[in-house]
Amino acid sequence: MAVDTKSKSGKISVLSDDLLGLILNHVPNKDDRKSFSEVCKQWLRVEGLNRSSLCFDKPEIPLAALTRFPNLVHFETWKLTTDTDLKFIAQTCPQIEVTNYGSHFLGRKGLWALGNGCPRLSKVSLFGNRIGNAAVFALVNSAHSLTSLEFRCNCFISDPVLRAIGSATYITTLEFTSCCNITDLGLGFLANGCVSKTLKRLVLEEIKGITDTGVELLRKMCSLEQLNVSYRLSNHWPQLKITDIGGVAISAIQTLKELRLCLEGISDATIVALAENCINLEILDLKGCHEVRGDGIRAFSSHKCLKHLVLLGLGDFDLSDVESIALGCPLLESVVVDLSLRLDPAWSSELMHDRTKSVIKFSQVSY
Amino acid sequence: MKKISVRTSDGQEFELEENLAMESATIKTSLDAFSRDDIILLPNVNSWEMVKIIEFFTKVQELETKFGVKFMEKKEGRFLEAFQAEFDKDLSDDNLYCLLWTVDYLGIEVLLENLCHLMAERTKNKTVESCRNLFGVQHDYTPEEEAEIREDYSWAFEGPEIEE
Repeated sequence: MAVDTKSKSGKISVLSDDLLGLILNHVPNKDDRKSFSEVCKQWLRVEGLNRSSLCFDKPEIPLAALTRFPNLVHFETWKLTTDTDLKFIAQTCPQIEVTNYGSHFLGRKGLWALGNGCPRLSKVSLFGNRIGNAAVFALVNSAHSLTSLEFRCNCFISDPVLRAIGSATYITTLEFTSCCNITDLGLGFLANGCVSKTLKRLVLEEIKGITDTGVELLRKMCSLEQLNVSYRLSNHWPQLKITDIGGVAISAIQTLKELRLCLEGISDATIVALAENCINLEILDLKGCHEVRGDGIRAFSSHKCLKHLVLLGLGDFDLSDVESIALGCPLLESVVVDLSLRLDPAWSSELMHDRTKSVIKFSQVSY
Repeated sequence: MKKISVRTSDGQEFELEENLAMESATIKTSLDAFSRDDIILLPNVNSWEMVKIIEFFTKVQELETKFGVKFMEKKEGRFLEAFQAEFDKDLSDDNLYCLLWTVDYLGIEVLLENLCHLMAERTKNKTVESCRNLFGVQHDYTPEEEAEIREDYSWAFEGPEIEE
């Protein structure tokens, strides 16, 4: 095939920005994109315009560098940021939908500017102790597309924040990890608010202020599909007061597909209730539930939906309990048990059915 | 089915089925403006490019009949990976570049998406200089500017892969 007269060195030698952008959509590799940006000034500009995801993880990166990437959708930063910075970020990158901020003091003005300036903002993760109630109120009230909120290691926010979130009907994901000022009162606000109708995913990890009273209210979450209530017993913190009372109440949430209940106070009574009521359950993680035994595990032996079961840290069960699950659950893909059992002669693979061999996984318990 | 006649830059005439001709936004605009009986002039399109475009449409129709999926309507470009390799191997770098430009000009979305993918494949693992040659781009940085860009923005290319 002959190259025609309209060759590269002829009158048409430059591809439009749009076309270059279309090509760049098919170049995800960072090294390739780096080469791309060094070809010429137009390509540098297009690479910046085409970039949708960025992370500022070094303190020396100037915030002004963001102006090269106005179409960012996903932005993360670990630098110390002020309210003025947030305003700048919102003005420069109005398309942001997902964002993470760590270890900052962020106030009302900054989060308001963010919510207002980024109309598509849907997922926000806030790490660190310097974000208080007023700031979160500002965010919830200004970010009308917000569907997902995550708080980690924050002992400033407290129950009133959950009241504000509770009345937000559009939130589908809420995650709290190590937030020491959340109590049963806060859970009550969530359970009694309109968010109880829309919430699909709820994480309450290392929340020492909650008890059975609060957890019982979670049965009002009528759309919940993923629930994580976990608490590692540690020397520094008191034992969490969640028992089978809370556990059995959770089993009333029939929409559950994924459940992580890593709690010392849970025993067979909860597991039996879960097996009976949570007919849609696909993933069950009972890591660290020392009180759960063989009887509880066997309760799942005719469950139609169970796919993944985690039994790390459990002590009182044997191979026959696992076999009853393996042989009785048609959709089962994995059962995770402690690595130490691999050396136990009672767990030798010669004693296992083929089906059990295909699903059993030995893993290190990591706390 | 009505046939639409087009004439390429080197004087050759082609007859396209109406529904295929309408896949080109540019041809569609011309048809709306003028009578369908007139020949549409495409001075920016060469005959070999037209042949390639018709080859693409023919193959798509074949696949649609075989799989029963309306690729063009659903813009399911990824299913066409099956014959992308075949389509690609006859095209030199220069030819792919020209075809890309032409298809962009004609506004044929599905084919454009495929060609962008093929072009992107050819830029992978290439040095900056090879990319310049591939696209016939002028080097417009001074050595100082180039070093500055590399240093100032190296952080933007570190870390995990970009999710698009």
